[in-house]
Amino acid sequence: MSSIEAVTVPKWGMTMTEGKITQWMVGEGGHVTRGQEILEIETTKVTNVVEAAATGTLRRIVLGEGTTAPVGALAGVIADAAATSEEIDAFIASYADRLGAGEEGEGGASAPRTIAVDGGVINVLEAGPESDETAVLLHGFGGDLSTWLFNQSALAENMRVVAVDLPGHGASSPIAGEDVFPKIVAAVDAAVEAVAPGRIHLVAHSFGGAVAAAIAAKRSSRVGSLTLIAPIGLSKQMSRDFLVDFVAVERRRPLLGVLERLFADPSKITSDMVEGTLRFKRLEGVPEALSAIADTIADDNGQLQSIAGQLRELTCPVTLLWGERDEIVPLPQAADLPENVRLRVIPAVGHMPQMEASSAVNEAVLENIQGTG
Amino acid sequence: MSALQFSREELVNVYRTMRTIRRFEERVMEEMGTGDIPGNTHLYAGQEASAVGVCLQLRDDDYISSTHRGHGHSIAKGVDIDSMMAELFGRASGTCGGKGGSQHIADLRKGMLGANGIVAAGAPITCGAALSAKLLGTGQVAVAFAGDGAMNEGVMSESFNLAKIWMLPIIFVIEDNGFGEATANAHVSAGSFTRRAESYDIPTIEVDGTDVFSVYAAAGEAVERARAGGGPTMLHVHVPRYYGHYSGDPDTYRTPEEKAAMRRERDCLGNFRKRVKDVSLVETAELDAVDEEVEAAIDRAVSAARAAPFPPMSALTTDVYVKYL
Amino acid sequence: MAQKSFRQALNEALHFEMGRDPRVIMMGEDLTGGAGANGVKDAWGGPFGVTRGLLDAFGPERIRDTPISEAAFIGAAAGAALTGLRPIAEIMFVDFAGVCLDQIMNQAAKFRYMFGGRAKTPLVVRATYGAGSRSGSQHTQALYPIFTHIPGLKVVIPSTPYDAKGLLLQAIRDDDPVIFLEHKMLYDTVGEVPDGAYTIPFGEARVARDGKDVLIVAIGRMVQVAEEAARKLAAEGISACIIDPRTTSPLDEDTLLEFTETIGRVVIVDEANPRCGVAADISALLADKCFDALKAPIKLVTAPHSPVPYAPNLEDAYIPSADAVVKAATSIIKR
Repeated sequence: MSSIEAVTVPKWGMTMTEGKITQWMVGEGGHVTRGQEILEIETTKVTNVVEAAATGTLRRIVLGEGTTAPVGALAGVIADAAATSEEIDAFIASYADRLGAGEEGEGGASAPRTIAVDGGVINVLEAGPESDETAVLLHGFGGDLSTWLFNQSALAENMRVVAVDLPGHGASSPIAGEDVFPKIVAAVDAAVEAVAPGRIHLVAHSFGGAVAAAIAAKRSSRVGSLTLIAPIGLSKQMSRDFLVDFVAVERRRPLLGVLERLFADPSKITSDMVEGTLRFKRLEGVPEALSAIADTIADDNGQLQSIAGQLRELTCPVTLLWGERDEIVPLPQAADLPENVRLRVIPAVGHMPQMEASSAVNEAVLENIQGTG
Repeated sequence: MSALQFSREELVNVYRTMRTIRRFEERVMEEMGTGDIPGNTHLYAGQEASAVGVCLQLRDDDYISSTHRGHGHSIAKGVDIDSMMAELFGRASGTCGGKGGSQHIADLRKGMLGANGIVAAGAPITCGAALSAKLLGTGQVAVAFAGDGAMNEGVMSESFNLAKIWMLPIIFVIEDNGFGEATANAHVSAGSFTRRAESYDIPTIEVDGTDVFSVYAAAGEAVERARAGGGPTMLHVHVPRYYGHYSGDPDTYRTPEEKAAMRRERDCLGNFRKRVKDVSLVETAELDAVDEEVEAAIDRAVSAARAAPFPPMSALTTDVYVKYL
Repeated sequence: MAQKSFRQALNEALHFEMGRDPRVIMMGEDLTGGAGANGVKDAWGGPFGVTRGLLDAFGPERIRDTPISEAAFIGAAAGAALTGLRPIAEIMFVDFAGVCLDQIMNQAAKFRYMFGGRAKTPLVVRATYGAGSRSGSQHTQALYPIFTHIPGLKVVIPSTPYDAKGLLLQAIRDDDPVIFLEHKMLYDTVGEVPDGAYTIPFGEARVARDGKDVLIVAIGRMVQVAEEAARKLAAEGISACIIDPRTTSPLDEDTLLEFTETIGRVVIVDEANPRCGVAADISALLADKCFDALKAPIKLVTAPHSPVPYAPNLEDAYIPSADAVVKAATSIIKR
């Protein structure tokens, strides 16, 4: 059986719609290995390279240098020697049909938009086909919706998935002053009401877990499932230092040191991730907003939120995913967990399993949503 | 302007300040001979009435900028002589912690924006101080002292222009001692200084800088204009320079006769004594007492400076920036 | 996030900070253009359109079109900074620093030190720099080595629209004199720039690209050249890391040393002339502090020791090219 792989125009960032082929780094007939940079594409903001998704021969260049094509267009074909020219022609033809038919399977066009709520806006990024049920993704403290970089598209193959920037994070307005936590819950709840009026599946990480639990308690009849990844609120244990240090650091190296605590394998952290986090933290008002949130999460004696009571009342499936080597919110004692909650420990990862073990997380989330867990 | 419009106490103060400058400079010259004051210095002796007459018209928060020959302006603006002497000796207790030296004495608390080692450089800086005063609405004025040599620097003319088009509350005081370093002004300056300023429509007053009362009167007119929003004025003040260009200058380019005549005939302190005596305002004995008082104060300043420590080695690299990263 | 040009990013920073702090004023030649004339006000919006709209927002007292008289207005800016304002003075082309260097080098830079730490000079001198505009030898130099050499000055050279805004806001809020250099060929480059205010600390290099085989250090417009070179190197299977120091004074020595320690091969790209340039300076630092980590000689890709020429073919050859960087990088990898 021959293997034929497409090289397509990728979608970089949230707003890219088309790209210009500026350079093929490999000629037709050249050998490529998986991960090798083979194609340079220019967009309105960046020029970047596309890596080969498979090892083989670049059998066909479909889009020549200088052409501009929409995201998802077939730029070239990699195949092994077993593939005949006829097979490749057929593949190219089928691809043209697929492109013409639109991009339903790919999650659709996705530009973030803001939802007006009391006291500001909530930024959301929607993906996936229209569906009766919507998965809502809530990131953790100091993150933003790009936490779900490796999850949202995968989950969006079957249903509509909305990733939310929490207040004071990403492009959502900050909330400060008194009663920060209930205000955050109210703002996110209002945004979810606006963007996902039907049945919802909440998927939340860390601090977002407490927000999700509060929303689930309030909207229990409409919540189809709850998947919490290393949520706060299930034990007193917490690295308060992480919160304090994260807010305090202003420069690349110290921030890298703080982010490394999130991962079992710190080499996964790219300079882009550090710079992206710095860009968010540098915005005026953000350190203050983060500080206020940190104070609702933990003090020197440990965690301040408790979600066990809320989880216990839920009738929908509740799954906890936890990195075995989480040093930020350590794995709680089984005895501390409500009986209706299912815990899945993911080996060899830290506080960010959705990034470090995205396939396992995606699978577990889908199982929980579909009730097949 | 006569001595009559001053109170007795004010007259004594004017004299004390001029005398302090004179003795400060004479003593610095002596101390240079001991080798204990590093480097060289430019002495203001002979020009005292200019600094004192102008600064007498200024508020504490008004600004002045000075030149390489800056001790007199500093003292007249109220900078403490103990800290100045310590600065000349390069000590930690100096006005600038020993890091500036004679040519860079500055005391912003007194509105003294700095002596300056670069001829005419104070002029545009003082325009900036005047701009601050104007935009912040503080009512302050700024005085740029400069010598005749500065008049041939381009930035002096640029500053006249800027001060006039922006109508800045500034007074340019050109202290013309006849020499730019060792070269006679007549040898290097074309035309007339006042006409240069007048060509920018800047009003000018030419003054005898050995008569503190004349300087005071001219400065009064200029300061009043500046404070009222009338823009810049230029004073051309004729002064003698008792010493050479700098403390190590044997000053052989002037004849002994001219130097002796200069000290005899163009002495602001002698003038002052004569003027107040003529109108019987202050007893000679009282001025003699001031002389002794000044002498003691300078003695104390020198002793304290000699006793003070040099700056710590750590000072070598501090205060380059407010914030290093 | 919003896409904005380098020019627009700078304009936003100026608008924001002038609105926030009434002590901030600007002075320079043709900041608006048309002052005193009968036609359109703010006709130029600055020689490169960076200061457009500021006159309308803040008025002629705070946006001051000066005579062509750099020594006077740079000196006045220094004096105003010493006495309570926070001036931003613009030198249209950094080459013109020749007529006002005293005020920068002997005055503003030294006030604090000479005055025993009792002075602050919150002055920003903005100036364009750089070759590529067919403007001959006196409007095109990359003179940052001169300013970097002088203690007391901070020297900022942004390479992206995002950095331009954050570094300019930092420069205006900084209490020390800052020379802020804008490459004129970068004004039209576009990138993501947040609408809100943010500052980027000085002495904080940016890792513009991760890579493991060779470290390319580049400043200002040369970051683009380095990025092009890195893409070409990638095609040859060579993975290049790019570091943009962002400020040459203070210099983020720690980051340069850290990445040199890890990678061991270094190419420095600098649009300035080579003698006593920033490339030479950084290479001396690396040779001094991490010689043992170096696996090959440090390669410098700089302009030649010549003025910037006028003829297009010569000017193009003057500016360090991506191909020259690729050649330098491959020469130390394949040895």
